[in-house]
Amino acid sequence: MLPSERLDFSPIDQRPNLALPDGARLAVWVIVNVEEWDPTQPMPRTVLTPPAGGAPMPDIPNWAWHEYGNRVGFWRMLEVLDHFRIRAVLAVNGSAIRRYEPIARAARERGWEFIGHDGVGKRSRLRQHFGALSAELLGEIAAQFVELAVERPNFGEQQREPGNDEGCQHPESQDEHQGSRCSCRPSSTPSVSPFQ
Amino acid sequence: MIPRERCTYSAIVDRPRLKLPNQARIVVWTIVNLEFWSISRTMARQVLPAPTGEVLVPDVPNWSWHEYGMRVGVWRFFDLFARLGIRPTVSINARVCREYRRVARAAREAGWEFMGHAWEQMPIHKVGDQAKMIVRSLDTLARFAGNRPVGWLGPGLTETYETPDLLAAAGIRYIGDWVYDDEPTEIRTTHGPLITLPYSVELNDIPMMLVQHHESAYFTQRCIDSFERLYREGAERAKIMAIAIHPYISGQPHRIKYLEAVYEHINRYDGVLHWNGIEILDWYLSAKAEL
Repeated sequence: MLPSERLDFSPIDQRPNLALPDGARLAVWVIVNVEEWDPTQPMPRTVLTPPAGGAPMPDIPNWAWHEYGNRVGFWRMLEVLDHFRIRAVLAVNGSAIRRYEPIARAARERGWEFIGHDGVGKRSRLRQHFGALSAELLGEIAAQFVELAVERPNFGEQQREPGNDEGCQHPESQDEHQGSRCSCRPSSTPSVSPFQ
Repeated sequence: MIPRERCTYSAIVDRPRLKLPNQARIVVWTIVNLEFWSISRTMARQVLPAPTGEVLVPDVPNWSWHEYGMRVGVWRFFDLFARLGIRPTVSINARVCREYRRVARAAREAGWEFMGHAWEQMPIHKVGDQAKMIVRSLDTLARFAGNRPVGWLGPGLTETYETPDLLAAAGIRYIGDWVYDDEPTEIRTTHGPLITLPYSVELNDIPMMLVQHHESAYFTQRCIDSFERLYREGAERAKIMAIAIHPYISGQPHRIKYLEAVYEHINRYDGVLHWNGIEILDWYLSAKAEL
């Protein structure tokens, strides 16, 4: 279906006003993208082009550059989000749940929402070739999410159960940004399968 | 071997903390890249595309732009690092020892560490006999420098799946191509373990100035921003910050002061070590053994 077949054109100023609860003005939606880049395929992004151009394969430097994000960079972002008590959305490649399991566990521990973000490079290309997300692929990706949800690894005594946030403990964030609302929310079970 | 077969994923927060000697927080690893660009091939980088954008051979304007670095720019580096008392690692195409003997000699006399960087500047994928090229490069550097390099950086950090195996077989002990961590790591090869040191494609004048086209002054800003964060984190665990520079880029008169400003800033802090690749390797191996 073409996008134009999915919905009719609608200019924003001719729609009824949607209102947020309690007079809030704005919802901030933080999405952390965690991906797995297949080192046998061209890299989705590059920071460094090879000498004299072209795209020689394999592309180890750009693979390693992305890998830095999952080994080091993600954990800095987690500190920031923890500090402001923001529960983000994890848009995660199905294969990355297993490959980068500490990341998926950290997100689940904090009650982040998980959203589907395809499989891994090779499968994405298959999808492009055939023009459709096959039921089989969908099932495989969903299985990764389900596996994460049912598995109960031992996190030790220090584990903070998801949904333990008892009200806002961040008066400073409200003082500093008058009129804004702290992102602390009532607890809820994280949605673990985006395909239900 | 694909990268996954050489190492498993490891989150930095899950590892034991490495410590530097004497409460130091951070190692600054400066790498000067010296290259040979063959006039008979496409130039490694271009500052000026030809009219209509075609890639031409010979490409005299871009060849001479790189040549400026060897004739002029690199002497600004020698002057700066002599004043600072810093002995960088020089990532050097072995052919530089023949074609730019004067420059290679100055690096040797200044006590810079020689790190293998292939025979000349071209993607390693296009080298016919990689094993032979690696040995030839290391032999040439060993004869010139008096000792065999233990480190290696691919041209443009390029590797094929076999490269780490061939490097380990040739006696290389660390590589800079795997810019995937803040810490050294150990990867598997068919010839035993190989250490990766955290070289950088972020604090590197090629991506910053030639790919992303930032203003000259941004170099200082990005280096200081990285340094301050890593210095803070260095209170908890050892941090290494690589700065990778090229004489035809950072040696330009409009850029050199922004490089100087980086070291002026860094050197105001206590607990900063300026080490070369071998020093980082030796520290890492002993720190790891003590864990």
